Amino acid sequence: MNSARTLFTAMRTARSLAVLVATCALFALPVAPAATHILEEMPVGPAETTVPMQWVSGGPGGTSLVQGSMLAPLKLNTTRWRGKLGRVYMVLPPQIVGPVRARWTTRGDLLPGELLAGNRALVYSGTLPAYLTDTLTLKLEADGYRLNQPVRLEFRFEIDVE
Amino acid sequence: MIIRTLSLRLLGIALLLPAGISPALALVSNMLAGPPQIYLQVGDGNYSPANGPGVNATVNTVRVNVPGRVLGDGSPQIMNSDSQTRSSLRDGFPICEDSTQVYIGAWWRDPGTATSSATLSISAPQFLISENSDRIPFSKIRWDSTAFGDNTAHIAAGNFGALHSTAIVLNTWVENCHIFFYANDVLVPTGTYKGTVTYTLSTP
Repeated sequence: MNSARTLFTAMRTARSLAVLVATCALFALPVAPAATHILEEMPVGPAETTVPMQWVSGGPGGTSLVQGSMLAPLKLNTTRWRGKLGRVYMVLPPQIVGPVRARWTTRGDLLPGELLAGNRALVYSGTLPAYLTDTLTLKLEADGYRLNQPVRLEFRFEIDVE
Repeated sequence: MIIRTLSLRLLGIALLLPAGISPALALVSNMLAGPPQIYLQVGDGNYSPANGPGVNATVNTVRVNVPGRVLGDGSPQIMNSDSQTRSSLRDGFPICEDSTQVYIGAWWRDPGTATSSATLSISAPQFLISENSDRIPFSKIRWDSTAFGDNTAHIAAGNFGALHSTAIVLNTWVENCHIFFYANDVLVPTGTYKGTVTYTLSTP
Protein backbone atom coordinates (compact mmCIF):
# COMPACT_ATOMS: atom_id res chain seq x y z
CA MET A 1 0.00 0.00 0.00
CA ASN A 2 2.78 2.24 0.76
CA SER A 3 4.26 1.27 -2.58
CA ALA A 4 0.99 2.04 -4.37
CA ARG A 5 0.66 5.40 -2.62
CA THR A 6 4.19 6.22 -3.41
CA LEU A 7 3.69 5.23 -7.03
CA PHE A 8 0.49 7.32 -7.22
CA THR A 9 2.24 10.32 -5.72
CA ALA A 10 5.08 9.94 -8.15
CA MET A 11 2.64 9.77 -11.04
CA ARG A 12 0.80 12.90 -9.84
CA THR A 13 4.09 14.66 -9.45
CA ALA A 14 5.16 13.59 -12.92
CA ARG A 15 1.90 14.80 -14.41
CA SER A 16 2.20 18.11 -12.55
CA LEU A 17 5.65 18.47 -13.78
CA ALA A 18 4.48 17.67 -17.28
CA VAL A 19 1.81 20.35 -17.02
CA LEU A 20 4.34 22.78 -15.62
CA VAL A 21 6.80 21.99 -18.37
CA ALA A 22 4.16 22.42 -21.02
CA THR A 23 3.12 25.73 -19.54
CA CYS A 24 6.71 26.90 -19.40
CA ALA A 25 7.17 25.79 -22.97
CA LEU A 26 4.15 27.76 -23.99
CA PHE A 27 5.53 30.91 -22.41
CA ALA A 28 9.03 30.23 -23.69
CA LEU A 29 7.97 30.34 -27.35
CA PRO A 30 6.48 33.74 -28.18
CA VAL A 31 4.47 34.17 -31.39
CA ALA A 32 6.86 35.37 -34.11
CA PRO A 33 5.90 38.77 -35.68
CA ALA A 34 6.54 39.63 -39.35
CA ALA A 35 10.25 40.10 -39.85
CA THR A 36 12.25 42.04 -42.43
CA HIS A 37 15.40 40.53 -43.83
CA ILE A 38 17.89 41.82 -46.33
CA LEU A 39 18.19 39.60 -49.36
CA GLU A 40 21.42 38.34 -50.74
CA GLU A 41 22.10 38.78 -54.41
CA MET A 42 23.76 36.05 -56.38
CA PRO A 43 26.42 37.37 -58.77
CA VAL A 44 24.94 37.75 -62.25
CA GLY A 45 25.96 41.04 -63.82
CA PRO A 46 28.74 43.52 -63.09
CA ALA A 47 29.28 44.40 -59.45
CA GLU A 48 28.82 48.10 -60.16
CA THR A 49 27.63 50.08 -63.16
CA THR A 50 28.57 53.62 -64.11
CA VAL A 51 25.65 55.69 -65.37
CA PRO A 52 26.44 58.82 -67.41
CA MET A 53 23.71 61.39 -66.80
CA GLN A 54 22.37 63.78 -69.43
CA TRP A 55 20.41 66.99 -69.05
CA VAL A 56 16.70 66.55 -69.68
CA SER A 57 16.07 70.05 -71.02
CA GLY A 58 17.93 71.60 -73.94
CA GLY A 59 19.16 74.55 -71.90
CA PRO A 60 18.86 76.26 -68.53
CA GLY A 61 15.60 77.86 -67.53
CA GLY A 62 13.65 74.65 -67.83
CA THR A 63 13.97 71.60 -65.67
CA SER A 64 17.33 71.04 -63.98
CA LEU A 65 16.92 67.27 -64.10
CA VAL A 66 19.57 64.95 -65.42
CA GLN A 67 18.75 61.38 -66.29
CA GLY A 68 20.50 58.18 -67.21
CA SER A 69 19.67 54.53 -67.65
CA MET A 70 21.22 51.10 -67.18
CA LEU A 71 20.44 47.42 -67.32
CA ALA A 72 20.56 45.53 -64.03
CA PRO A 73 20.47 41.72 -64.12
CA LEU A 74 19.46 40.34 -60.73
CA LYS A 75 19.20 37.00 -58.97
CA LEU A 76 17.93 37.25 -55.41
CA ASN A 77 18.38 34.36 -53.02
CA THR A 78 15.06 33.54 -51.34
CA THR A 79 15.89 29.87 -50.69
CA ARG A 80 15.49 30.33 -46.98
CA TRP A 81 11.81 31.24 -47.41
CA ARG A 82 10.96 29.00 -50.28
CA GLY A 83 7.29 28.09 -50.31
CA LYS A 84 6.32 30.81 -47.85
CA LEU A 85 4.33 33.94 -48.52
CA GLY A 86 6.39 37.08 -48.60
CA ARG A 87 6.86 40.53 -50.04
CA VAL A 88 10.10 41.78 -51.52
CA TYR A 89 10.96 45.45 -51.65
CA MET A 90 13.65 47.42 -53.44
CA VAL A 91 15.24 50.07 -51.22
CA LEU A 92 17.34 53.13 -51.94
CA PRO A 93 18.68 55.12 -48.96
CA PRO A 94 18.42 58.94 -48.89
CA GLN A 95 21.07 60.70 -50.95
CA ILE A 96 23.13 63.73 -50.07
CA VAL A 97 22.56 65.24 -53.54
CA GLY A 98 18.85 65.56 -52.89
CA PRO A 99 15.95 63.73 -54.50
CA VAL A 100 16.96 60.80 -56.67
CA ARG A 101 14.21 58.95 -58.47
CA ALA A 102 14.54 55.46 -59.88
CA ARG A 103 12.08 53.97 -62.35
CA TRP A 104 12.34 50.48 -63.77
CA THR A 105 10.71 48.02 -66.09
CA THR A 106 11.15 44.29 -65.71
CA ARG A 107 11.20 41.11 -67.76
CA GLY A 108 11.07 38.34 -65.19
CA ASP A 109 9.88 37.69 -61.64
CA LEU A 110 9.80 41.25 -60.32
CA LEU A 111 7.24 44.03 -60.60
CA PRO A 112 7.97 47.29 -62.43
CA GLY A 113 7.80 50.48 -60.42
CA GLU A 114 9.54 53.53 -59.13
CA LEU A 115 10.86 54.88 -55.89
CA LEU A 116 12.32 58.04 -54.45
CA ALA A 117 15.54 57.74 -52.47
CA GLY A 118 14.70 57.24 -48.80
CA ASN A 119 11.84 54.89 -49.56
CA ARG A 120 11.21 51.34 -50.72
CA ALA A 121 8.96 49.90 -53.40
CA LEU A 122 7.26 46.52 -53.68
CA VAL A 123 8.76 44.32 -56.39
CA TYR A 124 7.34 40.92 -55.48
CA SER A 125 4.40 39.56 -53.51
CA GLY A 126 3.38 35.96 -53.21
CA THR A 127 4.76 32.49 -52.66
CA LEU A 128 8.52 32.65 -52.70
CA PRO A 129 10.63 30.47 -54.97
CA ALA A 130 14.24 29.61 -54.28
CA TYR A 131 15.42 32.55 -56.41
CA LEU A 132 13.92 35.64 -57.95
CA THR A 133 15.51 36.54 -61.26
CA ASP A 134 15.02 39.48 -63.54
CA THR A 135 16.75 42.13 -65.62
CA LEU A 136 15.69 45.65 -64.75
CA THR A 137 15.85 48.53 -67.17
CA LEU A 138 16.58 51.18 -64.61
CA LYS A 139 16.22 54.92 -65.24
CA LEU A 140 17.65 57.40 -62.77
CA GLU A 141 16.79 61.08 -62.31
CA ALA A 142 18.48 63.68 -60.13
CA ASP A 143 18.87 67.43 -59.81
CA GLY A 144 21.65 68.27 -62.25
CA TYR A 145 22.70 71.38 -60.34
CA ARG A 146 23.21 69.44 -57.11
CA LEU A 147 24.78 66.36 -58.67
CA ASN A 148 28.24 67.89 -58.89
CA GLN A 149 30.25 64.71 -58.38
CA PRO A 150 29.72 60.98 -58.90
CA VAL A 151 27.30 59.46 -56.43
CA ARG A 152 27.25 55.77 -55.52
CA LEU A 153 23.68 54.51 -55.31
CA GLU A 154 23.47 51.36 -53.21
CA PHE A 155 20.18 49.65 -53.84
CA ARG A 156 19.24 46.67 -51.70
CA PHE A 157 16.34 44.27 -51.49
CA GLU A 158 14.38 43.45 -48.36
CA ILE A 159 11.90 40.69 -47.73
CA ASP A 160 8.99 40.72 -45.30
CA VAL A 161 7.77 37.30 -44.22
CA GLU A 162 5.27 36.26 -41.59
CA MET B 1 12.36 2.37 -1.93
CA ILE B 2 14.06 4.72 -4.23
CA ILE B 3 11.86 7.40 -5.69
CA ARG B 4 13.03 8.54 -8.97
CA THR B 5 12.83 12.24 -9.18
CA LEU B 6 11.79 13.60 -12.45
CA SER B 7 13.79 16.45 -13.60
CA LEU B 8 13.78 18.28 -16.80
CA ARG B 9 16.35 20.47 -18.30
CA LEU B 10 15.03 23.12 -20.59
CA LEU B 11 17.36 23.58 -23.42
CA GLY B 12 17.87 27.10 -24.47
CA ILE B 13 17.96 27.56 -28.17
CA ALA B 14 20.26 30.23 -29.44
CA LEU B 15 20.76 31.55 -32.91
CA LEU B 16 24.40 31.92 -33.60
CA LEU B 17 25.34 34.19 -36.41
CA PRO B 18 28.86 34.14 -37.76
CA ALA B 19 30.53 37.44 -37.05
CA GLY B 20 31.39 39.87 -39.83
CA ILE B 21 28.70 38.96 -42.38
CA SER B 22 26.87 41.86 -44.01
CA PRO B 23 24.26 41.39 -46.70
CA ALA B 24 25.59 41.71 -50.22
CA LEU B 25 24.48 44.86 -52.00
CA ALA B 26 22.11 43.85 -54.73
CA LEU B 27 22.54 46.73 -57.13
CA VAL B 28 25.13 49.50 -57.18
CA SER B 29 25.07 52.38 -59.63
CA ASN B 30 27.71 55.08 -59.88
CA MET B 31 25.72 58.07 -61.07
CA LEU B 32 27.93 60.62 -62.81
CA ALA B 33 27.30 64.36 -62.85
CA GLY B 34 25.71 65.90 -65.92
CA PRO B 35 28.17 67.29 -68.46
CA PRO B 36 29.13 70.99 -68.41
CA GLN B 37 27.53 72.75 -71.39
CA ILE B 38 28.02 76.08 -73.06
CA TYR B 39 26.10 77.64 -75.93
CA LEU B 40 26.36 80.86 -77.87
CA GLN B 41 24.26 81.86 -80.86
CA VAL B 42 24.74 85.06 -82.86
CA GLY B 43 22.18 85.33 -85.63
CA ASP B 44 21.28 81.89 -86.99
CA GLY B 45 22.28 78.74 -85.16
CA ASN B 46 21.42 75.13 -84.41
CA TYR B 47 19.39 74.68 -81.28
CA SER B 48 16.11 72.95 -80.48
CA PRO B 49 14.37 72.31 -77.15
CA ALA B 50 14.20 68.61 -77.95
CA ASN B 51 17.79 68.08 -79.06
CA GLY B 52 19.51 70.91 -77.21
CA PRO B 53 22.51 72.80 -78.60
CA GLY B 54 24.13 71.95 -81.91
CA VAL B 55 26.85 73.32 -84.14
CA ASN B 56 26.24 75.80 -86.93
CA ALA B 57 29.06 77.45 -88.89
CA THR B 58 26.87 80.16 -90.41
CA VAL B 59 28.36 83.67 -90.32
CA ASN B 60 25.56 86.16 -90.86
CA THR B 61 26.07 89.47 -92.56
CA VAL B 62 24.98 92.87 -91.29
CA ARG B 63 25.12 95.53 -93.98
CA VAL B 64 24.00 98.99 -94.97
CA ASN B 65 24.08 100.81 -98.27
CA VAL B 66 24.66 104.47 -97.53
CA PRO B 67 22.90 106.67 -100.13
CA GLY B 68 25.13 109.21 -101.75
CA ARG B 69 22.88 112.07 -100.79
CA VAL B 70 23.44 111.47 -97.04
CA LEU B 71 26.98 110.20 -97.18
CA GLY B 72 28.99 111.59 -94.29
CA ASP B 73 26.23 113.89 -93.01
CA GLY B 74 26.23 112.37 -89.53
CA SER B 75 22.84 110.71 -89.78
CA PRO B 76 23.20 107.23 -88.26
CA GLN B 77 22.39 104.48 -90.72
CA ILE B 78 20.56 101.45 -89.36
CA MET B 79 21.93 98.17 -90.68
CA ASN B 80 20.11 95.04 -91.83
CA SER B 81 20.97 91.40 -91.24
CA ASP B 82 20.41 88.25 -93.28
CA SER B 83 19.73 86.29 -90.08
CA GLN B 84 16.37 84.48 -89.98
CA THR B 85 16.21 83.95 -86.21
CA ARG B 86 13.46 86.03 -84.66
CA SER B 87 12.22 84.00 -81.72
CA SER B 88 13.60 83.21 -78.30
CA LEU B 89 15.25 79.80 -78.21
CA ARG B 90 14.00 79.43 -74.68
CA ASP B 91 10.29 79.83 -75.14
CA GLY B 92 9.65 80.71 -78.78
CA PHE B 93 8.55 84.28 -78.07
CA PRO B 94 9.21 86.60 -81.03
CA ILE B 95 11.80 88.83 -79.42
CA CYS B 96 13.58 90.11 -82.55
CA GLU B 97 11.09 92.05 -84.60
CA ASP B 98 12.67 92.31 -88.02
CA SER B 99 15.84 92.06 -90.07
CA THR B 100 17.42 95.03 -88.30
CA GLN B 101 17.66 92.96 -85.12
CA VAL B 102 20.21 90.19 -84.72
CA TYR B 103 19.46 87.48 -82.14
CA ILE B 104 22.15 87.00 -79.48
CA GLY B 105 21.72 84.17 -76.98
CA ALA B 106 24.18 82.72 -74.49
CA TRP B 107 24.11 80.29 -71.58
CA TRP B 108 26.20 77.80 -69.73
CA ARG B 109 25.47 75.22 -67.11
CA ASP B 110 27.73 73.20 -64.89
CA PRO B 111 26.84 71.29 -61.74
CA GLY B 112 28.25 72.63 -58.54
CA THR B 113 30.11 75.81 -59.49
CA ALA B 114 27.36 77.93 -58.04
CA THR B 115 28.97 81.36 -57.92
CA SER B 116 30.80 81.38 -61.23
CA SER B 117 30.07 83.41 -64.36
CA ALA B 118 31.07 82.92 -67.94
CA THR B 119 32.19 85.92 -70.03
CA LEU B 120 30.66 86.96 -73.32
CA SER B 121 33.15 89.12 -75.23
CA ILE B 122 32.54 91.15 -78.39
CA SER B 123 35.55 92.16 -80.40
CA ALA B 124 36.37 93.52 -83.85
CA PRO B 125 39.47 94.52 -85.78
CA GLN B 126 40.40 98.17 -85.86
CA PHE B 127 39.10 98.82 -89.37
CA LEU B 128 36.65 97.75 -92.02
CA ILE B 129 38.60 97.57 -95.27
CA SER B 130 37.36 98.07 -98.81
CA GLU B 131 38.46 96.33 -101.99
CA ASN B 132 40.60 99.38 -102.63
CA SER B 133 42.19 99.12 -99.20
CA ASP B 134 40.37 102.16 -97.89
CA ARG B 135 39.49 101.95 -94.23
CA ILE B 136 36.68 102.91 -91.89
CA PRO B 137 37.28 102.58 -88.17
CA PHE B 138 35.15 99.85 -86.69
CA SER B 139 34.38 102.24 -83.86
CA LYS B 140 31.98 103.95 -86.31
CA ILE B 141 29.59 101.06 -85.77
CA ARG B 142 27.62 100.76 -82.56
CA TRP B 143 24.78 98.61 -81.40
CA ASP B 144 21.72 98.88 -79.20
CA SER B 145 20.57 95.91 -77.15
CA THR B 146 16.90 95.17 -76.67
CA ALA B 147 14.18 92.54 -77.10
CA PHE B 148 10.46 92.68 -77.71
CA GLY B 149 8.76 92.19 -74.36
CA ASP B 150 11.96 92.88 -72.40
CA ASN B 151 14.08 95.84 -73.46
CA THR B 152 16.67 95.30 -70.75
CA ALA B 153 20.18 95.18 -72.18
CA HIS B 154 21.26 91.88 -70.64
CA ILE B 155 24.10 92.00 -73.14
CA ALA B 156 25.28 95.57 -72.89
CA ALA B 157 25.04 98.01 -75.79
CA GLY B 158 28.22 99.61 -77.11
CA ASN B 159 30.42 100.17 -80.12
CA PHE B 160 33.31 98.28 -81.63
CA GLY B 161 35.97 100.74 -80.55
CA ALA B 162 36.81 98.68 -77.47
CA LEU B 163 36.51 95.15 -76.17
CA HIS B 164 33.15 94.57 -74.54
CA SER B 165 32.30 91.85 -72.11
CA THR B 166 29.20 90.71 -70.24
CA ALA B 167 29.03 88.27 -67.34
CA ILE B 168 26.75 85.31 -67.97
CA VAL B 169 25.72 83.86 -64.64
CA LEU B 170 25.82 80.09 -64.26
CA ASN B 171 22.63 78.26 -65.26
CA THR B 172 20.99 81.35 -66.73
CA TRP B 173 20.00 81.98 -70.33
CA VAL B 174 20.66 85.48 -71.61
CA GLU B 175 19.01 86.77 -74.79
CA ASN B 176 18.90 90.09 -76.59
CA CYS B 177 18.51 91.50 -80.07
CA HIS B 178 21.29 93.77 -81.30
CA ILE B 179 20.55 96.63 -83.66
CA PHE B 180 23.58 97.99 -85.49
CA PHE B 181 24.15 101.56 -86.63
CA TYR B 182 26.82 103.05 -88.82
CA ALA B 183 27.72 106.54 -87.58
CA ASN B 184 28.13 107.94 -91.11
CA ASP B 185 30.00 110.96 -89.76
CA VAL B 186 33.00 110.88 -92.13
CA LEU B 187 33.35 111.08 -95.87
CA VAL B 188 34.90 107.92 -97.24
CA PRO B 189 35.69 106.76 -100.77
CA THR B 190 33.11 104.65 -102.57
CA GLY B 191 33.47 100.96 -101.95
CA THR B 192 32.37 97.96 -99.97
CA TYR B 193 33.95 97.95 -96.58
CA LYS B 194 34.08 94.64 -94.77
CA GLY B 195 35.08 93.35 -91.38
CA THR B 196 34.32 90.44 -89.07
CA VAL B 197 33.04 90.81 -85.55
CA THR B 198 33.71 87.98 -83.10
CA TYR B 199 31.48 87.01 -80.19
CA THR B 200 33.16 84.69 -77.69
CA LEU B 201 31.69 82.94 -74.68
CA SER B 202 34.29 81.72 -72.18
CA THR B 203 33.73 79.72 -69.00
CA PRO B 204 35.90 80.12 -65.91
